[in-house]
Amino acid sequence: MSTKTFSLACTAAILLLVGAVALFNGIVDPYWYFRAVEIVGFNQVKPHAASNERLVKPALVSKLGPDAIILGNSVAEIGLPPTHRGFTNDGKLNSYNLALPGASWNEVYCLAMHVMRRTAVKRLVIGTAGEIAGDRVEACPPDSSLGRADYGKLLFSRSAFAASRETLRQQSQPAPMTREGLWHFHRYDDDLITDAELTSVVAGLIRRDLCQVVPSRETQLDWARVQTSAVPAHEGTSLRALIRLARAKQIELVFVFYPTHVLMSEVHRACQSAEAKWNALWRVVSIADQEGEPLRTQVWDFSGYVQLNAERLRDGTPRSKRQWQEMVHFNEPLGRAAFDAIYLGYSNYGDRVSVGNFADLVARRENERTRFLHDNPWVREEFDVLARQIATPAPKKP
Amino acid sequence: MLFNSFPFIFVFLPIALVGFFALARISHRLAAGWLTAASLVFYGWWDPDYIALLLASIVFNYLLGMRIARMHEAGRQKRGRQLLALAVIANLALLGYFKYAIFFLTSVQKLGLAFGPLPEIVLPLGISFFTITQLAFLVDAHRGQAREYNFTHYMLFVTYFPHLIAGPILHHKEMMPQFDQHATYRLNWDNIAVGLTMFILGLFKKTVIADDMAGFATPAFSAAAAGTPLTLLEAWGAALAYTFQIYFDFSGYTDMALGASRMFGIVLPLNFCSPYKASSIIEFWRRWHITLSRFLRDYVYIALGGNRTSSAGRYRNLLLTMLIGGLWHGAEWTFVFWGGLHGVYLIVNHGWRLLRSRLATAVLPGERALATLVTFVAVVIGWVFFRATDFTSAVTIVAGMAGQHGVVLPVQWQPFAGGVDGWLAGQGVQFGALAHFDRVAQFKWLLFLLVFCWVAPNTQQILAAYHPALLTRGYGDLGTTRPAWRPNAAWLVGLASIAAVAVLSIERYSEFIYFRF
Repeated sequence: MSTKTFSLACTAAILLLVGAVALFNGIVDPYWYFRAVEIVGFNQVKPHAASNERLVKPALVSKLGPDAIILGNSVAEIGLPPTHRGFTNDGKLNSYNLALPGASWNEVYCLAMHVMRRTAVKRLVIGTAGEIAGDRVEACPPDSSLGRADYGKLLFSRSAFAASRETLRQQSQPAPMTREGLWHFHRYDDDLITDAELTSVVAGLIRRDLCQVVPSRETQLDWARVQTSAVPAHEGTSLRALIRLARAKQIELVFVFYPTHVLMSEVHRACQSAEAKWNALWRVVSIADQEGEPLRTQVWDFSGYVQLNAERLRDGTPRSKRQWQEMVHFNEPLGRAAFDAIYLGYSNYGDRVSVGNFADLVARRENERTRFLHDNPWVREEFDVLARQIATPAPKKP
Repeated sequence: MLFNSFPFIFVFLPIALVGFFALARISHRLAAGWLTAASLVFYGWWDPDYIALLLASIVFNYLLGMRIARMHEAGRQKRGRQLLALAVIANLALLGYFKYAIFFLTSVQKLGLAFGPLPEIVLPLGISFFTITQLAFLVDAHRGQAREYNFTHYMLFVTYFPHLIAGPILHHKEMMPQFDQHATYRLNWDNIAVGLTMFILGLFKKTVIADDMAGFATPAFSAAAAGTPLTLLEAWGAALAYTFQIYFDFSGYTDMALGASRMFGIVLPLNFCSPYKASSIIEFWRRWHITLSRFLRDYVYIALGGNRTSSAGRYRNLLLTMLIGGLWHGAEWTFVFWGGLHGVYLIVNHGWRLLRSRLATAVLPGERALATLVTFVAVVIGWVFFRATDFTSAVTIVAGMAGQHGVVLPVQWQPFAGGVDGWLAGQGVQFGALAHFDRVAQFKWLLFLLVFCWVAPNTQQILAAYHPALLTRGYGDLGTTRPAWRPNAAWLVGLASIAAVAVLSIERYSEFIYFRF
């Protein structure tokens, strides 16, 4: 073979091989970006869609341009349903759950600003556990890079090829994610992990993020330490910028303080203080009151002591039938109940919070807590078990 | 622009090649100009602002080089030496400002001499390489060894993209004649095929092996930097993973540089030649970054007096040369220490050779294999200091390699311990979970690479029949070997397959380690 033939044939073979892999990845579409071919039993279930969300989700939003978007961390991604009929105005609005696991306020802020600037979004829900009250935001990546699809990784990569092969193999398994971006997490993995192991994992997270020893004494709310004065104009700059942009673009903006499991509420209260949650909520309510339009900017709180937030951890119910994955992530039915309240006006779950009703809400919730703990002594029992587990780290597995 | 990127492989290189050979039909000077312009685009892809700095450096050195050469021709050696001194100071000042100013100021600050906030200085890509390439040119001009002064060719000599950012460090006298040859400007399919083969082999080494090793080494070195002590296996795993990362990264880069250049008909000097096969540190430095070793020998070691002095003076020169070599790699004390460590290795090596020659003992069976192993371990320890972000973490890893942080074996290995697990426990060896290198496959992979580096032929040997590099004289083992490359169907299928895997492995922005220097 002459070197000319060799060179040309080698170049052609490389292009052919790489092109074939790209075509295969494009058709199987393991990360659910292209959405050109979807065949039941071939590629409809996307086991790898949840593993490359930062690569796909922002680019997909730029491509699809949904009217209604959900933002937040994994709690919002797992629990807030983008297809809720109220949220989508009975299907009139295209919707997408853009929440990302482990997303910080910085990341949520950057994505929110990006979608408001670059898409025609009409409705935005931002889920939070209170971290959005923080001020500090690092510089965001440019809009051009945030919404850009990385075709190298989506088509011309070994990992996409491996994901495509896995996709073909795992069609009989439950889908880990919906096409609108809702992640099921462990909801359908009944055999993955036992309740006891799961509690142990949560105990580990609490030990790492909140406190190593949970004080057992009862914590009373100190009204003097609950903030109710307007947040000064120089504070909360990122949140203010976000609300102002939403107002300028006439976007409906709803801040959702996540449903919180009563046990987790108790842990927070014991590890931090009884006032910490209310002060975080107040900052958002106060800034929203100063910067937003009353009808378009709303703040909702779902962290009350009610039965929906009080599923027992270890009662043998199969994971797929539970409301809560553990004490942090709630499942879609709870998110539906929350959206029922926000968008359909049902009044049995959560509260819309404003500057005007804030003090009443705090007082009502405190009474609600006292009553609930009295009527449900298992909460204290499980709390004690959890506190012991937090205080005693599990030995490392050999 | 990175060699291991889609824009380079699928856009830049094909356009540069087609443009070069198309323009070469009209005018050689035009083709050389095209290649220079392409090289500036390649450089400016990173940050166009620094093109001006590169051009200023070229014009300054070219003009001074011309003057120095004229002084030499006119026999005005003293004036030539003065000009050379001026040029060397100017070049070192430029390098000093961009590369060493912050290092110097930080070191002074650590001594307790406080001053205002440190300035932010961005290190221009490839500054170490284009500066010393031109320093060598200036010295050669003073010695009367640089004879061709075509400005277009000089520009191309400095900016030529295959070597601009991370070497090989070129010599004026080995490049200028090639730019002048008619054959360079004729499309030669032998060159294309050989260049393509080298480029693909290099790309595979970088994207498949080196980047994979980085995934092993980086978390372990980061853990050590965060103060986590590494147990024996973890520490050796980290050190070996980096040892192979830098090997395949630099070997891959060098193959790609030589391959890309060969497609343009220009042969670059040998720069990397199976260094882990070396049976002494002296031999290691004849195989690792060969053109840097040559520069350090010709322009630093000899300038310091070289061998023309007492034994003690020679060893001092050796140590100083290696300290400078270490500092050249980066403005960190860990690099200086690494250079010094290799200086000490070299002194010990020379001393050992002297002793052996005086004792006149015969070579013992297995001696070369043992020497290769000892050399390899010495190099691995050196790499720990080269890679670590600070002394503390380097010492943590070396202590771990010495078993100072305990010996924990993966629990999966326990069934293979048979009846000796009780005895092992008595020796302080435990079975348990490792934070790093917890998979047996990782050790198998490291072992495979070790054997591969020791046994497998290198790119130069595989392509020996096609003379892939300059300066191969003195490398006796570079004769034709098996598997020798031939343009046949088997090589076509094999090469296309590994090329596809290599291209599909370009998943992230992954700089070559030597880009930082």
